[in-house]
Amino acid sequence: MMDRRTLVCGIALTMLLGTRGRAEQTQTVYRIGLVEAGAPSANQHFVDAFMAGLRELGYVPGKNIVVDVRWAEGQADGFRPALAELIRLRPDVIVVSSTLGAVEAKKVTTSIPVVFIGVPDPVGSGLASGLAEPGGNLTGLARAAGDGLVGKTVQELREIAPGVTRMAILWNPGAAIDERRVQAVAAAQAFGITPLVVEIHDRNGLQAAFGAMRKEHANALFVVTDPMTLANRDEIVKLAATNRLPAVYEFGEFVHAGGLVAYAPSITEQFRRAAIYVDKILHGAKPGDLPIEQPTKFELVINLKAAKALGITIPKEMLLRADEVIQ
Amino acid sequence: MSERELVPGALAPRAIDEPAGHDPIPGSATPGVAEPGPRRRYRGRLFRKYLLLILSLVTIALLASGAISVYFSYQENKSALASLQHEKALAAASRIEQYIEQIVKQLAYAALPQLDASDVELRRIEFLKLLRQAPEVTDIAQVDAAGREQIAVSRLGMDNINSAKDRSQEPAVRNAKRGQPWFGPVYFKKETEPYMTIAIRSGGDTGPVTIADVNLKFIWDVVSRIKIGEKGKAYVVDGSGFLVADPDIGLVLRKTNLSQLPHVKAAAGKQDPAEPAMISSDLAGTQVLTSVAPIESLKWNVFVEQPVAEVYEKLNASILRTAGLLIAGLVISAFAALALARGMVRPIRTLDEGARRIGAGELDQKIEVHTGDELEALADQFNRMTGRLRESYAGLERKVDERTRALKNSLEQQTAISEILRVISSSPTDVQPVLDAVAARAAHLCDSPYARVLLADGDILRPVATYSIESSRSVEAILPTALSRSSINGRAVLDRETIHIDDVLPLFDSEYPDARPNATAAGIRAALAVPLVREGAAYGSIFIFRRQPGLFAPDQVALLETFARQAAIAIDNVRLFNETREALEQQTAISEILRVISSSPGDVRPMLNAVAERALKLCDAAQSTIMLVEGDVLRVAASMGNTPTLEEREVMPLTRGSISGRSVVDRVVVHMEDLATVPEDEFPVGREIQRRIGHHAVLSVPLMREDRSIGVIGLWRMEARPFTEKQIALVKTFADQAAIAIENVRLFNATREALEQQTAVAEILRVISSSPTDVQPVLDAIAERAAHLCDAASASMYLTDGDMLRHLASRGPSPDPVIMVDALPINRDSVSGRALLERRTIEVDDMLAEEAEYPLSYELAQRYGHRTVVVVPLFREGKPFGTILLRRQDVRPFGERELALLQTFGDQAAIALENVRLFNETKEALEQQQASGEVLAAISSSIADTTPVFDKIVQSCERLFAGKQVGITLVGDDGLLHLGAYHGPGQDVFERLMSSLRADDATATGRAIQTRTVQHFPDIEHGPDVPEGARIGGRATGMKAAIYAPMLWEGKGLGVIWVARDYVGPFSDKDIALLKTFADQAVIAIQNARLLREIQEKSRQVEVASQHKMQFLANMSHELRTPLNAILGYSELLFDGTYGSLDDRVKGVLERVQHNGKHLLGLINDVLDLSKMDAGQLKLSLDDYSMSALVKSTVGGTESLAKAKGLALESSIADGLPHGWGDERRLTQVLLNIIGNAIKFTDHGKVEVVAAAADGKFNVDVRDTGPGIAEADQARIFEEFQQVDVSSTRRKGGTGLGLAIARRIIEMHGGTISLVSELGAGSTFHIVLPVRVQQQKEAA
Repeated sequence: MMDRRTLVCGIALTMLLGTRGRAEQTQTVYRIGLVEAGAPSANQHFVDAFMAGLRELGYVPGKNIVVDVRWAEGQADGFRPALAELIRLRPDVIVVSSTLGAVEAKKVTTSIPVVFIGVPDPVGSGLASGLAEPGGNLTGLARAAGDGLVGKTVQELREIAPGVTRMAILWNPGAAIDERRVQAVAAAQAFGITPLVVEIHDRNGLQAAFGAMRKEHANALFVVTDPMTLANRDEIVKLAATNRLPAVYEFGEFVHAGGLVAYAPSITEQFRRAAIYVDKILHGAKPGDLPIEQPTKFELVINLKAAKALGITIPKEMLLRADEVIQ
Repeated sequence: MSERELVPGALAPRAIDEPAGHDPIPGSATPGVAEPGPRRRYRGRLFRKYLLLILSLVTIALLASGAISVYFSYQENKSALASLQHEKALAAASRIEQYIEQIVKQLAYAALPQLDASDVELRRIEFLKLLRQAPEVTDIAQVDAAGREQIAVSRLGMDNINSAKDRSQEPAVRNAKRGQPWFGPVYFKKETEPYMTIAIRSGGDTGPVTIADVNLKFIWDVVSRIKIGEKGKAYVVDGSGFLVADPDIGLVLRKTNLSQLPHVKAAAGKQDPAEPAMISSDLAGTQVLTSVAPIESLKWNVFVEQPVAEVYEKLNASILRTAGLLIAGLVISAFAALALARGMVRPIRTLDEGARRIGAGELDQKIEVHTGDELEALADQFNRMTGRLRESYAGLERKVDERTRALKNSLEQQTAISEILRVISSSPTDVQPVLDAVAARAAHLCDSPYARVLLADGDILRPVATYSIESSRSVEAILPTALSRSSINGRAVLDRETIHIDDVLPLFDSEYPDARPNATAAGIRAALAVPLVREGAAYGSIFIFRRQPGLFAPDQVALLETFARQAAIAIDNVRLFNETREALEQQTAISEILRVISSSPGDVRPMLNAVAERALKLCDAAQSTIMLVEGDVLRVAASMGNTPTLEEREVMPLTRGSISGRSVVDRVVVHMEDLATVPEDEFPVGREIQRRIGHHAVLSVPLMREDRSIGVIGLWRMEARPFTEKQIALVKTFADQAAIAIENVRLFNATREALEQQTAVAEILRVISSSPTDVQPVLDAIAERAAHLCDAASASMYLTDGDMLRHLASRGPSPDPVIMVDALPINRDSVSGRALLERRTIEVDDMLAEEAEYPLSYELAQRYGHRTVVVVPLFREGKPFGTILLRRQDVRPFGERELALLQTFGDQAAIALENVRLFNETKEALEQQQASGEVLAAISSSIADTTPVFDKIVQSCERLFAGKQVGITLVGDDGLLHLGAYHGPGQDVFERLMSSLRADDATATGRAIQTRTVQHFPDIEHGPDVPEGARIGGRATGMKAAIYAPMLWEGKGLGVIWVARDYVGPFSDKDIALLKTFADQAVIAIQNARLLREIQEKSRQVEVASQHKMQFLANMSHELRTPLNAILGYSELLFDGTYGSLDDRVKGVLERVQHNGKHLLGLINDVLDLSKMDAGQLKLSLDDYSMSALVKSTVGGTESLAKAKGLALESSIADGLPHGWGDERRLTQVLLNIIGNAIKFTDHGKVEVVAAAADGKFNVDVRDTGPGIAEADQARIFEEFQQVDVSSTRRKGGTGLGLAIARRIIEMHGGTISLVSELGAGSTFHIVLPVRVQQQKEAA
């Protein structure tokens, strides 16, 4: 009788210990690959926001998650090597910013889940079959809600500088953002402004581009933002100032760098939210089932210093409305 | 205890269902000895029964009370939880409602009428403020009472102010009532984000409406703050079941429809939910407890849900507690039951122990129970029973012992018999195991120390199976016994009766003297011999004995007899079996050989191997050899066996001295039991071999074909044991089969070879016919077939080329280079050379042994490793022209047939070569003809110019002579040379060199002209007697050889035509002849050209003269006409009396002057016309005219003339003649002339004019009945100054120019004029004239 009892107790104890032992073993370290469109000197705060998002969800870098960060340095051909390098590390999820980056990521993998950030039109760019159910291995955060945002942005410029008659539209044809140029042209025309499309391919073309604006007597500037222009925002802002062009931007970063005004969703916020997507995917969700979120919060950022330099007085109601006013 | 029962009559006391029963094996165990059985088996039964009873009573009671309490507490808790859930739902609903109300309030505030209601800018600022305060609102607009949009502000797009868009039909505008906000249905922007429109009408029912689009995604903030337990959540579903808000925002964005979930369905169906919460399942199918609270104003439902597992966690805990108490109660009651049951069971167990001991045979122990109750009485009963059992036990045991022994004996005998039967059936082919078994059983069962089975073998009995129980004694000591009645076994066998002797000692002398040695040695006293009888014969006997006198038991005798019968049957079986098997094996062997024969029709070797193998096996021989006759030797064709091989046996001379030789020569079977005993001189060879191999029995069967022996099958055995008749017959069968097969193979191979040869010949013919122009494929084909069919390593074809044999083709399977040498000199050093010289086929068996004879061939053979060589010379029209050479790399001469085949191939090669030669010659001749034809064509088509002719000649020369340079050199009148034509490089140099040369002895041209022969210089540079000019020219232009053909005309040299090549070598006779032809043709061309030039010169001179004449005529006529007109005019004036009246004589003279003057004028006019025409000055003036009017007027104009001569002048004009186009005046002149002529030359009868039109042409006929014109004159009358005869002209007058002029005019119109006439039958002039003249034709 004693033997049997001992046996039963032993078995129970073993099972209990066994379960606990197994439970301890299941601690896995996930690997995330992140490709940021810009350079660490300008866009480190994006990556920091993403890491903060991960930490909020209980991920501790180095302990249960490893994030490999690569930088496309604002180059259109900077994504491919970065992605190739990351894929060799066999990440569980790839996070990539910008339309160009997402398009490149879609080319290189159909199996690794990809979370994109700051893509104005994921469906139009062919990254997702629909916002509600993207299908495929890509999902993420859209950078615009509806098609009217460019018009809204142009409107902000016009309110600051009502005398605008000729607006230069600076854009990079190599960045797959053709539709935003079209929208910008349409918006300008809607306000009776003559649109002047100025192409730019890389940093070296900036001087020439602003030269062209001068020649065309542009008196305002709209920058269609892509990784290249974002990476070179300091230069663009400076050139806009020296050419005395009131400029409106699609990224608040430009205004922080000294630009005049921007109306845009916060990309920093999107990087933070991307962590939620990563978390869901790591917990087994299929990227194709995760709806693409559209931004709800758009920030109006105004730089008073820039306005002063241009001799512009910002209307009061606009200052009231501004989410951020840089003195 | 009540089921215990004793079973009487059993060998041991045995209990059924007894707790401590043991295994009672009958007779095997000693009764009464207790065995330790499986004691534990029933031990706890009663104890457990009591224990369980008590336990179950307690458990049931405890469980019932526990379950009841759990049930009630569960129900209470559940309803409490449901209420709680419902409370949570209500709270959540109210929070969301508050949230919406908050928005509405803000909206209402923004919609408040402004002080100055028209100031939209203020309104815009208000709206912008709202957008800033309420992030949910993405768009806000104000629509005035008329439904026009006044202002629209958007977070996502451009603001519109005063757009005046008509929005009156929007539901928001239509449904908004004063003081009551209107909520639109939830809609999903881009199919993902939930939105709702809220409209507020301010300031009366016709006040402006403020419309806002609200992004419901923001409710997420609210619902995600509502905590429902650990895993529960609150979410909002709109009226159509779409998820509006959920902590998992993804679900909302996916536009999830929950209307199919049971609780959503229930909530939609019921106005007032009867129960506060329900168990349902969520989207993932998890069981959830869910509760709903509606938001009436929005027609939304707020659900809260929590997984059932979590909800009932506490409930489960209370149930667990109850269960724990229950288990504790059970444990306590189990201990109590244990103590109670143990007290009851102990005495019963003591009784049980006692009874088990009795059962085990322990009958001398008492059962001690002192309970003082019924159990103690029971123990006493047991004790008494034990005593009685002890007594009856001993008697039983004895009886059982006896029975068992008897049974065992009979069983053993039965077993032995059946075992022997089993041995018989398991070894049908071998009797030995049966006999061994019989011996063994007999010894065992008959208590004999020794048993053996003897079998008759001739006149002795041989012991074949012995068995000894005494292992110490030697079995080998027993000798075979004579088969006689004086031995025990012999008598048993001969008499076929069982001999059973109780003591053999006294019978040695009288009865069994032969038994003495064995019997004494083995110490035999009692003996039993049983014969193995079968169908009246005995095979042998079974013998057993004992060393003590005394008979064997009758059952032992009977047993032995049974064994004897069984053994006999077994021997019979085996004999039958072996006979059957042998027959079968032989049949199989024959059929297998037949199969081998049929499967290898072309090769005799597998068949012979099969025969040798079968013969060896079936005849049980040590060696089997098949030899075939090959001339005067026997050669081994197949050999099987394991005797040492002797080299000299591979090939044996065919003599009677060997066994095989004898068999073949005498065509008999030779069979000897022991060759060793045969006299030496009978088979000297056979004995010699026998001594070395050591075989004894031999059998030799000849292979016969049509009374001829072609070989032999020989079999040996190492021992002197004769082959049986059956085996000899079998070998004979084999021999016949082998002979047939060899014949078949021979026929087959012969047929196949013949076929192959025919095929090869046919194929070569095909190649010949398919390549008529090229001999190479034929030679290749011949070489290939020859090598293949003659089994040669390679075959080569050589053709003579001057004094060399040139290699043209080689083929063959040899992997070594087949091309031995490119060319061989035709001399006696090589086989090929000699075969050609001696015109015979030469075969060399081993080239390596022929160094002295064929040094060249020997060298080649050494180099390429061939041995046997045959060369067949090829003949054409009796002349050798090549050789076929075949090589083998081993020494193996070629057969007759192969040589004949090569001859055929040679003939074919000759035919092919002849074909090609004829073909090429024909082709060449054709080409030359063609070239000549072309030159002639050129001559005839360019008579005046020599250049095309020269070019053509030069071209042809280049093509036909394969010349590098071709040219025509001409000799000028000054004797200098100049170039007529040149083709090829170096023209400039050549021309320059030649410019100063003359046609003298120093030039080839001069030489050719002087000698009037073709000059031929095969080697310009080094050849003898080459003119200096040619040598210089050759050096300058690279000519190495040339021929020059002179062009001669009437003994005069015009030049040469020459062909040069850039390599040294003679031109063929054909070339020379051809060049001569070209030279002749060139001369013709030159002469033609010269003649033509002369003719042209003459005709030019004639033409000039003729023109001068015409000019003269025209001038003259003009000059004549002017004075003549004056003469006529003045004579008329005179005649008319202008200058006074004249007498009749003078008038007569004047009349004559006038007449002759007019005639002269007509003549001059005609000459003028004619000369104009000849000078090409007459022009037609073309215009429309009517042919009928023309004819009518002409006829009218000549009517008077006809009347004057008394002639009838008739005209017939067809109706509807078309209008003509031409020179009317000239045509009138023509018709006038012809009609005039007709009237003039016709003395009586009539003149008739007929005009008609057909096919665009007018046909005008003028017929007369005049004297007619002779045929010879008909052609002439149209020529100038011609009249039919002078007399008539003189009589009739006329210039003789009229018809010539008429003809020319008609011809200028493109028409014709012709004449049909016969002397004395009148004439008809026939004019054919185009209705419409296309253009003026040149007057001929």
